[in-house]
Amino acid sequence: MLGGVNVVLTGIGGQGVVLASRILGQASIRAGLDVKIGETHGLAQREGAVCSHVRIGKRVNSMLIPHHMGDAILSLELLEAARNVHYLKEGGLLIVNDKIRYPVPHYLGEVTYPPKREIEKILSPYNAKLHVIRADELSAKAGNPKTANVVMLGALAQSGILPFSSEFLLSVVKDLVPAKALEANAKAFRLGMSALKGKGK
Amino acid sequence: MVLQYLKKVLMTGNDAIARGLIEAGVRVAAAYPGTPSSELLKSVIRFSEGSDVHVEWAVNEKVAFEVAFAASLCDLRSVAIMKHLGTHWALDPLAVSAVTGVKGGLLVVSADDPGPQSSQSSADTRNHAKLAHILAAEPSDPMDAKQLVKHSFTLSEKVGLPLLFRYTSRIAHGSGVVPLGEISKPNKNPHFERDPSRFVSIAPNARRNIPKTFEKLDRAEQLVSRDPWVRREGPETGKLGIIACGVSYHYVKDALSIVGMENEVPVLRLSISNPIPKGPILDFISAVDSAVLVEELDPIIEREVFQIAHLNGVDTTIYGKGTGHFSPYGEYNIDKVLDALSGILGLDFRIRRPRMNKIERRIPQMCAGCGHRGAYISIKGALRKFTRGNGGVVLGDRGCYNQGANPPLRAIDTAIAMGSSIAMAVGMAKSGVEEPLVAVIGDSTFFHGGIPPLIDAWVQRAPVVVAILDNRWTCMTGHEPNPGTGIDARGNPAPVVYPEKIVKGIGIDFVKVVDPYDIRSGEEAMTEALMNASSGPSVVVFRRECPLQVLRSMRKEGRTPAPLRIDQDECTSCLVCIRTGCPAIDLDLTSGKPLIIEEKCTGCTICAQVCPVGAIS
Repeated sequence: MLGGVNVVLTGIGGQGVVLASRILGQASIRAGLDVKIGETHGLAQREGAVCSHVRIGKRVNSMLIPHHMGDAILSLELLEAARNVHYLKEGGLLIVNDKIRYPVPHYLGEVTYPPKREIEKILSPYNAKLHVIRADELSAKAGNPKTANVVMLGALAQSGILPFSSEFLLSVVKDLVPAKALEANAKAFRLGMSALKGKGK
Repeated sequence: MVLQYLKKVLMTGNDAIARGLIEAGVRVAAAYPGTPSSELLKSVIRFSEGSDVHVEWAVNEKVAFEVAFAASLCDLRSVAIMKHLGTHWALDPLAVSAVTGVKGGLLVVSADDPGPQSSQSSADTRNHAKLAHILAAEPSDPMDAKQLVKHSFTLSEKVGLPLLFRYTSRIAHGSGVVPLGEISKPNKNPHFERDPSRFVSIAPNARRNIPKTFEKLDRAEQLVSRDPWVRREGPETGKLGIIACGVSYHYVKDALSIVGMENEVPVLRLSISNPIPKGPILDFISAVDSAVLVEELDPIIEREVFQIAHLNGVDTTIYGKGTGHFSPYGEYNIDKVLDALSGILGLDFRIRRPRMNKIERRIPQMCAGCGHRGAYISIKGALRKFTRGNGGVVLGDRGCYNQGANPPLRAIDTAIAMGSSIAMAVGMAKSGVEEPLVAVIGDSTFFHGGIPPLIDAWVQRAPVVVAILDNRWTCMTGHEPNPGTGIDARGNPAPVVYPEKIVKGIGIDFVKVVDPYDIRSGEEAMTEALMNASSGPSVVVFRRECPLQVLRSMRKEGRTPAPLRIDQDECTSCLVCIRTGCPAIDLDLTSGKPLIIEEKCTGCTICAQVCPVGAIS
């Protein structure tokens, strides 16, 4: 048994993957739990991919989740969801932002990335509980386009897989985001929660 | 007894090591930035605000080590921080420090990068500890890292040798819960006691002192054999036992609990990798039928275990890299440990292998508004005109401008090590290569390792053009100040060193300074430099502050840049703007026309200058 709750967060530089995973980490400490985060963010600043493994439990050993043992994947971008979906366990939770950002060379035909339809195929064999969320639109609605990561956290909290409540996680979000963006983040979190509710779960 | 409440904090490995240094009372901390170690000194700076701790971004890792080494000779606790590649640079004085010995505890924090995730090679710097005959320790996670730093200072002082504190990218950037301890005040009384028989390390003195180094290592071996950081877990004996160190220890623990064998398999956890604790290893391998060695990169401990087994007539089977169950390269993880255990035990522990999705790696680009983009366009333009085609070899160096090798720019032909661009251009010139040779090097890299090869180019009369891409900061690693920035590590004003003054000081006549946002001027300067480089190097400095830093200062003043836009009626979809590789330009897949992403555009105008129909303004 691996134990605990294991979540993979992915996206590209600037989307707030690192902050989202730190919020989960901070919430875990406050809930009296052990937590470890494995982060790969080489060249994030320069349009690179970012991937965080968050492991929460009574006692956590390594910072990485093995293949096919993640309880949930939270992806702010579709290509990155496809790249990391093999971390998801059979029937796990897959929350993806309905956004695709192709690297520049794709447009020039120098490197080819899969089109959206193919990504759906890549994501399908895991029998995942799939939720596609328009996090970018919701973050704009919340009043700050940089809060898409918090929209996703709201959705994750709503799913019920975390060992703490949505309100508890929201209180940590409020403590960790910049003061001037507090209101937008709180709104984003709630929009994320209702986005998951709305999916008829 | 007073029970002390320990505050627990979520920390990255870099933060945790920094906290350990401060808790241990470090007095001097010098570093050269390099992923994944760059954040470490920043955390030391943050944690030591208002104190007497000297922090510095040294000009290179050799300098950083020597600064820390000198402090140690004055009886202060000190540290030099670098990535594995930098440890190669520091190796010369590091090896001498084992001969002279140290006084105040001296750590060399060396960040290895198995994979590599962000390096040009992936050496195991524990080899340097072996080579230099110094101590080595390696933590398994952030909590460990903080405690082990403190213990490492004690060991270094007890034995009188420097200690190489090796950690890896996974620990540097990963986070864990770290309990905070008391902060010790650093020693404020430096005292250098003259002892030429040690510190003047000429051959006769070295011959006398080298045997003492080995005596110290013997004493260290006795110490680490009783060390709490060499710990045995699980049952006393077993069919199979596992020896693990560093981050691999946790992969082993997870793998064993996944397959339900945590109560059957004894584990020996080593956090000290030089000298190897021979006694505990002999006891451990004698108590099991077979032992598995799990350590990332080189089989440093594995080889020693073989030797211990052989010398003591122990016939325990030893599995590891030697038997092909583990790889000597790449980062380990739980899956790799499960694979190896499956192979060794003849069982199938592998988790149902999901289909791996082959998605091309996300190709990083230089940032929107990066001056290097303009410099490359000018360099390529000048070479195209000068050679009437695609001639010319462009030798790159190490820094953000490496992204210029990626499509769509594909502007450099080599990227090896700090300063290699210039030295290799000389080498190609002297090999008789007749194509024009352009070396491209950043400001920090120039200060770090570019000056000696430029002197070489001048003295050898090498017909090469050196383009110094000066954006005033060490950006690739996270915007650390360098000698050209004008501030020190704590943000206080510092003298500014201008590369062109160094170039002129060498005696090189042709030096031009241009703005990389002005493509035509850059191209003209490069063309002139190419024409002037027939009998010696000519230099063009492309100077423009990193846009991320400019945006940072603008934001502080409440200003925002004015983004450009593409007139969709004028645009002919030629995609020349997209070919600049600017991440602020996206393609509208329905209209086939490029669009500027407003929040990313810095208004640098490079795309507008290359647009053949003037559709961007």
